[in-house]
Order: sequence, then structure tokens, then C-alpha cells
Amino acid sequence: MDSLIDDRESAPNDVLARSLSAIREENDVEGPTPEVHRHVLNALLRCVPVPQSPVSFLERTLHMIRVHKIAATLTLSTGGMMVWALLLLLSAGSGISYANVAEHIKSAQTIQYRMTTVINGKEAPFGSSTISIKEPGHARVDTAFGVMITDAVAGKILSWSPNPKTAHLVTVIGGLPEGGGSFDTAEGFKKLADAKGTPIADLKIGDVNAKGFEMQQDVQHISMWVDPKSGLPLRIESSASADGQEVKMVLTDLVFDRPLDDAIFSLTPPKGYTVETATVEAPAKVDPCEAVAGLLRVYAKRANGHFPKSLTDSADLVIVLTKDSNNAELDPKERQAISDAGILTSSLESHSKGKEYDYTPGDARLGDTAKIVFWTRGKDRQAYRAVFGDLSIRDATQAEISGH
Amino acid sequence: MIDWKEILTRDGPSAWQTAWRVLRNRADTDECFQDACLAALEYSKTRPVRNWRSLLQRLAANRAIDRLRKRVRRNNHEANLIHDRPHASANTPLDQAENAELAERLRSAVAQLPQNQAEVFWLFCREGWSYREIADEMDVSQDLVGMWLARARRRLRDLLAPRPNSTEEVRSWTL
Repeated sequence: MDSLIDDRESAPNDVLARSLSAIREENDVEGPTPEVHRHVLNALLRCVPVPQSPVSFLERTLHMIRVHKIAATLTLSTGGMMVWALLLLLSAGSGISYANVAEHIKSAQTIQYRMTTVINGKEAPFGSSTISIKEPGHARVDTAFGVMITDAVAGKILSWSPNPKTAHLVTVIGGLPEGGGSFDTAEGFKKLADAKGTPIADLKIGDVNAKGFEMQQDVQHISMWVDPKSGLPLRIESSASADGQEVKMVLTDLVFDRPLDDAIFSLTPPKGYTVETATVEAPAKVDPCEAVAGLLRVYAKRANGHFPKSLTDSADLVIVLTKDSNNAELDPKERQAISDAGILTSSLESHSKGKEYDYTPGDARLGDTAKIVFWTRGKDRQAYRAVFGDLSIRDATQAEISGH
Repeated sequence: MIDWKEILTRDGPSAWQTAWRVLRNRADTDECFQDACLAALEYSKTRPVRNWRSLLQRLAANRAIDRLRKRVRRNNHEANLIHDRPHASANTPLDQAENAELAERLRSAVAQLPQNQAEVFWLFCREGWSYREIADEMDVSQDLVGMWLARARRRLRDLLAPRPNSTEEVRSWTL
């Protein structure tokens, strides 16, 4: 049996014994509070593949928007990555007929694939998603958290989660942006026109000895393996560093023109689900500076005037933004700000940090009028717009940006 | 699949209390509690967890001592430690004040120990864990636990020993 005290501690004048005694006599208090318990539970559930208990509406929305935007960024409207794939093949001199494959992809009415996000070598907490796309403008993302269906023509987004059985139908005023907004087909052509693909080692995928290619595009390193017979991609990997983390997205099981039943894109939630409806402004109208300022305002309010260290750390954002709120009871303006920010932060991933925008809050706090916490370049690539610590939005000079 | 809701409900309060006893500040305790839970999650990804309560308590103690160390460094004097509640068990106001001072001095001293020694000392002397429980949870031998504890006690006595910090005390030491 171990003794809690040694010989000297049994002596009444031993200072260590008296100090220990004082500490042992201190009162305990009840804890954690239900609020802390809930926040910690939410934080834990965000980090496990399948939640065991209800995840907040806000948490799901941020997650689903993020997943959906990533999907849209990569492939929506049969453009983006597929177009890039063609250019890569051509520039690598594969001998594959551009005309035939291009025609095939351009005319594809459906695309289906599996997307896995890997962060620092480990599969991301939100795991793999299956993305189904059908023209015109239908997309569906199946994840471990639930399902999100988009109808770009109708301007509606339906999401549901089985635990609890809750569905949300969001109508987007002004409609959804074609092609996901941040990487549409035309822009993809422009950015990739000068791209040079380099052959890499082949990869055995099923029975196919797939041809490998790689290229660097801005901050993204892209590898892909193509079926030499059809010229269609079988596996695509896109990796980049963000906030010190290596993020890789892996697209597999790519299938073109598989017949997809309209029913899987239905905007009618499953039976037995409670449906909540909401109306939001079109994401296309989101101004980066306005969106960041809106997010920082809501965040700082809940964080004693501090700003988030990163705009893309969704776990931190969810934890802080759900503080003092009761999920669906958020103020409508705050909800809009968070929605805008969710869209913005996802689209930031396709832009070059430090060149096209930057977020450097440092130790700035709400009200710091001199400190630039976020900046972005205008369309003319010369002018800068900046968000300051007091959340005002003003033009900024190169010197101010460099000095901040 | 880990049922975090059940684990937090069943074992969360023990872990929170462990951090509270180190820090005596609710905001700091809440943050340590969250850190400990997330650390437990990471731990569970690499190996099976035998006892969730022990794991959470140890991680809470670890994080709390680390925070205590930073707080003491920042304040540079134990008198500046922020406590939410006064000591209530002492009989008189004088006793209470003396106990409060003793407790604060001990916290300040613990914050100056190496992490392993501080953790073992706290788990053994305050939380009432056995050598074996500590050894199992820290994945070390019981002999090593005993050695760390002995060193911790020796160092704490040294740190807690009276120091001449006033003219009167200097005089009493030199006479």
C-alpha cells in the first residue's frame, strides 16, 4: 500500500505537509458546466468519422458548404479538372486524341466519383465523399455526416443528416453561381493554357496500367493517372499546403455518363425528417472583405475581441461561433455572415495566399484601426482592399500591405 | 466506435475537477479540460484505452500543470495567482489566509518542477493515485514513479523553505 505522506510530512511543522494539507482542504466546485460539456462534445465529434450524437446545424452547414465547394471547385459543370486533364495530356505529348476525348467530356451528362481528403497523411475527419453530378446543374454529395443536394437551376440546396433526422432546405436568392464560382470552365482554360505536364510512373488501377502525369499549378501539385485506351482519368490527386498542413484531395472511381436516376437529386427530404427552411443571399455576391469582416465581427464578439488565427480552421470557427448560441437560434445577420464566410473560406483555397490575398491577424484585436488583418487584390491586380482591425474596409497601398 | 457522449458524461467531471484543483480558475480549467479531451481523442487513435477516466484525469493534470507553469512564469509571483474561490475549511480568517498562502506557494513550487515530477506528485499527493495507477497510466515502472516522487518532494521542500525577504527576517536569520 502506498502512503500519501512520507515520514517528514507526518511532522506537524513540515512545510510541505502543511501546504499539502491546505490544498487538500480547498473546496471543490461543480464542473464542467453544461455549456462547456456541449462545446467539448461538439469539438470531439468534429474529429471522429461518424458522429454519435447530434451535431449542430451550424456545424453541419459549414462542413457541407465546405465539402460541396471543394467538389464544385474541382469538377462542377463537367469543366475544371477534366478540362485541365485534357490539357495536361496534350502538353505531355501522350498522343491521345484531344478532339475525341474533349468531345466526350464536354458532352458528358453525368460524372460520378469518390473524393477523399487527406490531411498530413491521415484521412480527414469528414472522411470520403461520393459526388454525383448531372446536367443541368444537379449535384449530390454523400458524406458520413449526411447528404447535400444542389439544384443550380432552381437555386436550392437540400441537406439532411440522419442523426438526428433533420433536413434543411435553403433557397438561394439570385440562384447558385455556375460552376461553383471559383473555378469555372473558362477560367480553368485560361489558367491552364500554359501548363506543362510531366510524365510520372504508371499506376496499376484494377486491370489497367494507367499512365501518370504531374504538374504544378500555383500552390497546387496535381498528379493523375489516365486510362491509355479511353484517355479518361482514373485517379487524380491534388495536394497543397495550407496553414502548415499538407492537404491532399484524391479523386477515384471516376465514371462518366453513367445513367443517374433523377430521384437521387430530388429536393424532397426522406420521410420522417423534420424540415427547416431558410433563405440566403446568393454566394456569388459575397465580397471577400465584407465576408471576412462579417466573420471577424461575429467571432470577436464571442472571443473577447480576439480574431481567429486562421480563416480555414473550421474546427476553431465552429467551437467559437457556436459559443453562447443555441444552434438554430442564431441571429439572422450572424447566420448570414457565417454562411458567407463558409463560402469565402472554401473559395480561398483555390487562390494564392500571400499573392492574391492574405490573412495575418497577428495579435490584433477588435478596434485596432491601424492593423490590416486581411487584404485581397482587385480584379485589375493592382489595387488592394483591406480589412482593418476595427473591421473597416478601405483601399490600401502596396507599402501598407507589405508593412502589415 | 467511441461513445464520447457517454465518456464525457461519466468521466468528464473527474477530469475537470483534476484540472480545477491545480488551477482554481474556471476559464483556465475549461480550456485545459477541452485540451485534455482532444488529446485523449488523439491518444485513442494510436492505442487502446484501458481506463478513460484515468487517461482523462492524467491528461487534465498534465495540461493544468503546464498552464500553471506558464501562469506562474507570467505573474512571476504566486501572490498574483487568480483564484475563483476562497479557502473555506479553515476555522478562522487567519487560518484561511495562512492556508491560502500555503496552497499558493505550493502551486508556485509545483510549477517549477520538471513535468514528470510535477505530474506524479500531484496525482499521488492530491488525487490519491497509487504508484501502480500512475505507472500504468504513464507507461513507466513503479520504481521510476517512486524516484520522481522523491525528487519532487525534495525539490518542493527546498522551494518552500523560508527565505529572508524582509529586514526583520534577515535580522532573525543572522542573529
